[in-house]
Amino acid sequence: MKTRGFAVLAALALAAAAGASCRSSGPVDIRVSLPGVSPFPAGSFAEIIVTIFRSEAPLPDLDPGLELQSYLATELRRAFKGTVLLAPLPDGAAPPPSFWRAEAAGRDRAVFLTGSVRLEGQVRKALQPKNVPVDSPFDTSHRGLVEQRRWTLTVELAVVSGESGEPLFRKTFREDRDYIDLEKPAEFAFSELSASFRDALFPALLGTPTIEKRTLLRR
Amino acid sequence: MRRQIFPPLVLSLIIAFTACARPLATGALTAGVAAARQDGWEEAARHWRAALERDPGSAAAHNNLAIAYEKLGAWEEARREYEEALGLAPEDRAIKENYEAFMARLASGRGKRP
Repeated sequence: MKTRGFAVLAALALAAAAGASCRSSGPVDIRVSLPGVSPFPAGSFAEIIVTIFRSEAPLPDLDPGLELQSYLATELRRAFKGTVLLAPLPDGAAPPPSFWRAEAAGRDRAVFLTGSVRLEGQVRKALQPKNVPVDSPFDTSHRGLVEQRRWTLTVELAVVSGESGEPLFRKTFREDRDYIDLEKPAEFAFSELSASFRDALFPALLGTPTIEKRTLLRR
Repeated sequence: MRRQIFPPLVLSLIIAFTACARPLATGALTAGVAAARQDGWEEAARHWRAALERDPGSAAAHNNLAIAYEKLGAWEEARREYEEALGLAPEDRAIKENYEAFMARLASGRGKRP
């Protein structure tokens, strides 16, 4: 009788082990941080050389081309693991591939960030009909008038391969912002607009890591 | 007495080895999963490659290896492994979902290239 009981227990234990084994071989959902997908294959460049950008519309108190170079280099040093270098303004609007190859001579998988920049301000006026009194004993001539200054930053960016001298990526970025304060200095607007430009550029250039769900299989 | 012991023992052994039908090669698969859960993706990929050497028809190993390649930023290799996995197990829901998520992500990053 005892032996029979033992046999039943052994059978149950083995069946339980089989069940547990089956459970442990099921799919496993994981959340994994995946690197950003950029137009450039991973590891395709180890150095970024940022040139001075050509200023299409120079301002009296600000050189957007120089400021953009400095800003991008600083931000790239934070976000990019490789080397970030500065370079002067290239000669001409579209230097030939031989120029870029010569500039990158001796560098390890270098790309150039180059192009042109334009920062423009424009006063925009509009009437707000609901605020314009038709008849009043007071001077209301300017009450319905809204004035804003719109600053627009346009960057024509090119990523040029140091190895081949050919452009790998070209894109025109345009950011604008309205300010109620008409006297807002260009430096202030440039600072805000270049941050928006960076937010648009970096995912395209470096990719943005994201957390994704995936399912691993065990059988 | 012994006769009474054998039938349940044999029965339970049959249950153990057939109910789950787990091939021995899955040891490498599970080792890879364990490594991946510890964020050891290089090691995980090695286990899954070993699993594929033992069983080249393992859709699970191809699927897992594709995820490892995604993690390592090797998009072309990931795509190839997912497509192998889907070719071997076209109805597998998990593989299909992984592949669709991968392709959507790839398109969102590369589709904007001018």
